[in-house]
Amino acid sequence: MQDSQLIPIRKAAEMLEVSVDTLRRWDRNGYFPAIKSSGGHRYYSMDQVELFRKDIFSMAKSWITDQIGAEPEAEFYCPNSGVFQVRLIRMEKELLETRKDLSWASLIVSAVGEIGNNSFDHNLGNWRDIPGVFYGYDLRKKQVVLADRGQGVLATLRRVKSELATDRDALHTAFTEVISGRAPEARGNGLKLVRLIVERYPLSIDFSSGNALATLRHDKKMRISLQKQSMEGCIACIRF
Amino acid sequence: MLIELKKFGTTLVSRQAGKEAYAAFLPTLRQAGQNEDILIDFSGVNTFTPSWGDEFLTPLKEQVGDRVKLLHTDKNASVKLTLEFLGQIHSQ
Repeated sequence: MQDSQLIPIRKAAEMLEVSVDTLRRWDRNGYFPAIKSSGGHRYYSMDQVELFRKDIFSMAKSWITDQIGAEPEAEFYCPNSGVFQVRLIRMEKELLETRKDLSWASLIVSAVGEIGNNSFDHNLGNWRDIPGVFYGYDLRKKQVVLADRGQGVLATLRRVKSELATDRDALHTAFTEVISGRAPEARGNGLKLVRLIVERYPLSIDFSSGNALATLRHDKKMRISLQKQSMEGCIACIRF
Repeated sequence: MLIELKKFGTTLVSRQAGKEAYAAFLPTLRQAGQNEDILIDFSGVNTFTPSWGDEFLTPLKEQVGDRVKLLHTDKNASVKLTLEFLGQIHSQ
């Protein structure tokens, strides 16, 4: 850190492709702290910026845990399912360019599509503040991140299964029962398919809502654990 | 009657899109003969999920029963897995 060059906020914002206001807000809420000069100007170490630049998950997590709801950066923001669909198709195309294996690409797109569309299906007209999803991917890091500032799995499923008491119970139900927050519509398949994909193929998924985290790994049984930080809405990280 | 599913799109992933596809397909379906098989061809489909499939195949099967036949379903993992999954949940 001592040897790392310090850069001003404007340059950091440019490198991270966020606005200066976003960086100021992240500094105020402690998420991405700046170094302040005696004149009160914000600086960042190049190392810190480089590291953060590559971490889409951190950006998504910051977005959903931010007390003040604001739209994420345009590159990652899908305000409605139409935009999400277009970007999903673009990712599918890029996956096929990386590796000409349609089955492999189709399974990743299926999992991402089901998780992303769930956010829209269950929160339409009922978003807490910012509608839509954060959708980012890095094919070099083989990682896809989805997040929403919606009602979360517990509130959604409690509409149809009032006995659900905890985020852990809700996540367990979401991944194992064919049930939907939009009953009596016949739906509720998405996360069950996602679990089946991970059982059969080498993908891994971490899915959080509230204070619960579902860990899905190809060679292990699904685990649902408590996490320290509770998050309203949902966040998922798919690795392949 | 042969239906090439790719004409509805090659990335078939959302419930809305599946519902809309079935609604658009109904007038064509009504033209099929009473005993005519409805062949659904999956060639050229890149991604197929249960959300889309449930809104298209499920009402189609309810409408025409065993006359639905699925073609070229084994070339793509998402097609195979989704059809297997839909079969499982509808038999429960």
